[in-house]
Amino acid sequence: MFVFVHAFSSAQNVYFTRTGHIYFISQTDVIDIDANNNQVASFFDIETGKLQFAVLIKSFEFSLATAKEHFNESYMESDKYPKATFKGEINEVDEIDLKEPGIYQVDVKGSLTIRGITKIIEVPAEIEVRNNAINAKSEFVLAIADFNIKVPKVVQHRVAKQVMVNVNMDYAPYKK
Amino acid sequence: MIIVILIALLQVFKPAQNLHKVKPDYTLTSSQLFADFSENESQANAKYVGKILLVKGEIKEVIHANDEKVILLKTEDIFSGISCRLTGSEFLKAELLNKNQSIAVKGQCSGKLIDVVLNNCVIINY
Repeated sequence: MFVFVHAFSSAQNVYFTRTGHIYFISQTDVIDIDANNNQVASFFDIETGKLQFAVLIKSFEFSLATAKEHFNESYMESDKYPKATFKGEINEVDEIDLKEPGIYQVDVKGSLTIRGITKIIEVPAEIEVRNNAINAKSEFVLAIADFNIKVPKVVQHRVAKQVMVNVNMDYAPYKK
Repeated sequence: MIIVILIALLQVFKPAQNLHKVKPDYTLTSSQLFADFSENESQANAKYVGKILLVKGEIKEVIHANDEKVILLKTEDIFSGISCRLTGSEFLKAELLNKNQSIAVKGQCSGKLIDVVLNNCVIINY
């Protein structure tokens, strides 16, 4: 289940998006394989600095259509693990005021769950606060072995061990 | 996260399947689809995920997201809807859509987050 809002301070401080963007790319000498997802759900509490993300594995679309099937069936087992989630917070939350317009360089630390395996990650992010809108961006690398993703020997040269992930969220105020 | 196979020589850059020609597995309203997921998500996942759905509903919002377009259909829930990510060939059609308009969208269901999510969507009538 994906239940957020309860964990947050008060609705006034909460921003959300239902169309956040996550892109990833596996680069090898043989081939680049990339995919993007424009239906990432995320909530961001600017008072506490807490962030939550959830993404459906099956809604990643690949430049190479045939890759989607392998990704879902062989690597991510998305019938068994349909979602990936992240719950974390901004380290510098006590030092910055996210209600003030500006651009903030921060670090976000939290639990990333992929294929039912949870890892603590810490990644840099840039947060731009505008009037009634917030953009948050991050780029980081994940090691596929950390999530027990096994690549058959015969295709190992085609799948990078480290995958670059790019996150870009345009948040709006959360109002019921 | 990550990725692929396909022996080098067989690599086929075929386009994603065009759902205009595909018969839907289920035809239902946006409210019914959302209600099914709200009542029992795991049962709804088993029934709908991976299937082609023809969903009828009113447009809550057409969202321009990262050079793509997502149509949000209304449900009984005030906050949540059916999120329909359009396939590229439908972007122009989406320009002609208006809020509150009734449409039908065909897409492949991938589950539920805030909204029930459909991918690779085509607009059936508008």
